Amino acid sequence: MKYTFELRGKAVTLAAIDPVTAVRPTAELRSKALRAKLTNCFGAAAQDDSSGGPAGLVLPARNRKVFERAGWVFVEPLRPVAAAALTRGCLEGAEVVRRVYVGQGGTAIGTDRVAVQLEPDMSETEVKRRLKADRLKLVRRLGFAANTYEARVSDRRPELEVVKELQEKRGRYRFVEPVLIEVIGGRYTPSDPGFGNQWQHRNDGSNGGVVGADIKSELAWDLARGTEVRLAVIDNGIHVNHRDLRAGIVGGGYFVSDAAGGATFQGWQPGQAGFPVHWHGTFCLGMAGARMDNNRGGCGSAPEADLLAIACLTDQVGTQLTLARAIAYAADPTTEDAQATPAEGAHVIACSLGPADDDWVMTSVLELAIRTAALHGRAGLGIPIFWANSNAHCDIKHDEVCSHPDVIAVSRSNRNDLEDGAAYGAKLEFLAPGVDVYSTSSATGYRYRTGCSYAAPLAAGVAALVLARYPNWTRDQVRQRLRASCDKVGGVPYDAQGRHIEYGYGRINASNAVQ
Amino acid sequence: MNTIERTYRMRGTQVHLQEVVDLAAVRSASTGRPRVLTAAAVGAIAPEAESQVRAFESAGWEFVPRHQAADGAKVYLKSGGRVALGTNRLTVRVAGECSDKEAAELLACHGFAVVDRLKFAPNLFVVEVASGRDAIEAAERLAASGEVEFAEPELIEVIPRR
Repeated sequence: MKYTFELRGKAVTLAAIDPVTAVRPTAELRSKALRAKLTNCFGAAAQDDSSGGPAGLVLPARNRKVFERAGWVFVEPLRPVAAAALTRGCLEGAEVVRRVYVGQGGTAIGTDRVAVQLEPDMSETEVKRRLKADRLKLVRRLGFAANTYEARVSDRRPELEVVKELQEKRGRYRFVEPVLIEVIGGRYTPSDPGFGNQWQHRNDGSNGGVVGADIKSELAWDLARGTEVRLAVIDNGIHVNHRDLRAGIVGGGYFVSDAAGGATFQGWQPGQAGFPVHWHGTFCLGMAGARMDNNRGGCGSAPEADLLAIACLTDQVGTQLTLARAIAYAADPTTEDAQATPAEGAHVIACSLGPADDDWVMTSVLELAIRTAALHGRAGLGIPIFWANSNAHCDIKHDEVCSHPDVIAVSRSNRNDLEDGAAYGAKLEFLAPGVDVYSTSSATGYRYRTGCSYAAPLAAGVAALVLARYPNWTRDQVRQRLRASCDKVGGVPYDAQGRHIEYGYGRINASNAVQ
Repeated sequence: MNTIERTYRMRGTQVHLQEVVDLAAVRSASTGRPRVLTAAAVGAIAPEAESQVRAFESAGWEFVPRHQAADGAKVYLKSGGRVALGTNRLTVRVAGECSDKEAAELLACHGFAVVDRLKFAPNLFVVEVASGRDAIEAAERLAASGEVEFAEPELIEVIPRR
């Protein structure tokens, strides 16, 4: 059922999703030992339906965690639970049971409270009389404005019906608004000591930069940080024990090439030795997924994503078949590891390997691996695959990998929000910061480096943020969101489709992307 | 140094290569051959290829005169001065529905031994050509048979970081 009411003069619509109920169990039931009983008492845990599932619950993992920390669980309610939610009735084992609403701002939990403001010249007695007539009970006076109160709906009417009904009585109240419980996170700035060096996240104009020539990570992190999204970086080698990465790496593997043109796969788990190391892959992985708030370095664009480290062509020489196998493994680890499950595959893939120039002829087997991952990975939803363009000023059309329709080809922008002379063309997707960007490098350190190599994983991290918020979106939905949310930078004319030959759809904007 | 033109089909288009017939590439560890050509010497036939040859050398490959390494990898020059080394392997996707056994039998009929079945797509195999056969020619013949969706030689190339 949908309710439309006014907030500050604007119409707002919230949909009550009654197949889901918010329950705040008693402290005893919330204790770990009894958590298993929640299903029996209230119903099974409700699943996120961001992509239009049957219940309609929009609850990305990060927000669910915040609600859970506050004591709330979302369930597919048993019959008495659903009935209690509708009437805000009592229920054994629960402190409160409430309806759940979904609107443009995400998911909110209903309460029995409203905020009202009456004419300033009304006496307190008159106010109480009016509230009582409207079946509201005064809870407290809000001292920051005249005749403004928090009130409680004193009967069992649905709270938003009450709001709608009172708003329709024009002139009776200056405003009547529902009081809803929602996730209101603070604007987040990481505490990492090197965060100030990472203009890619927040460009404050230092070192000749332009204020705001960045991907707006902080605004995005208020809504998503990549939690429960698996992001794979494929590179020549990665310092998997880097102190800013190891906590995020959940697994991976590497391919050891032989002289005959073949390669042997070696699975790898955190803590094991032997993973090929190189600063390049370390830098790339850090751009996407270096950890946040660990008092080390900076952080990646998806600082809470689960990272998959995959190495191949460790000496930069090998076959496209090996690269194809690495991509296939990232998407579905069972292709190389009989003990793995498809669910352990990546949700987003980034690769920054390729010839220095524009000329790269792709084999059928590499195309097949890319297509299979892009179209059928992630249990059929498809995997966004990001690839670094050549750093040379050349047309991408001769690079058959980056110009492939299933590859999201990324070039680099600088701290002035300008393209930086890398590959361009009709197949360029967009730009991301990649000039003098700061990330993990070497076994323990950090550096500034330049290359499309670093723009691609940064953008892949933004895709992980989008998937954290909308986990059931298809690859195409994610791609379209990233395109549509780019900033049209560079002071150049974009065509009717919103593209420019050297800027693609513009410079990626994480904050816009996760809305 | 002498070169001959080689062609094969890849993803529906004709790929042109120059095979440097006087050269072979060998892994350093597998040879104690007396005369190793420098990158500069190889670059003399295609100056733009010199950096590519150096990348191969960094990865442990050496370039030697063909007569000193009859079993060495063939050396190809691609457009733009890119260098590729031949292998005796092809990637093959058998056309139509068939079991692994049927596919292996079909490929054996054409003189190939299955090295690996790739699991990310149906009917996809890595095969080895018999000793002495030219992999590019074998790929062309197999592709022309109509019994495969594609048959492409596996070439070793420089795929650097960007």
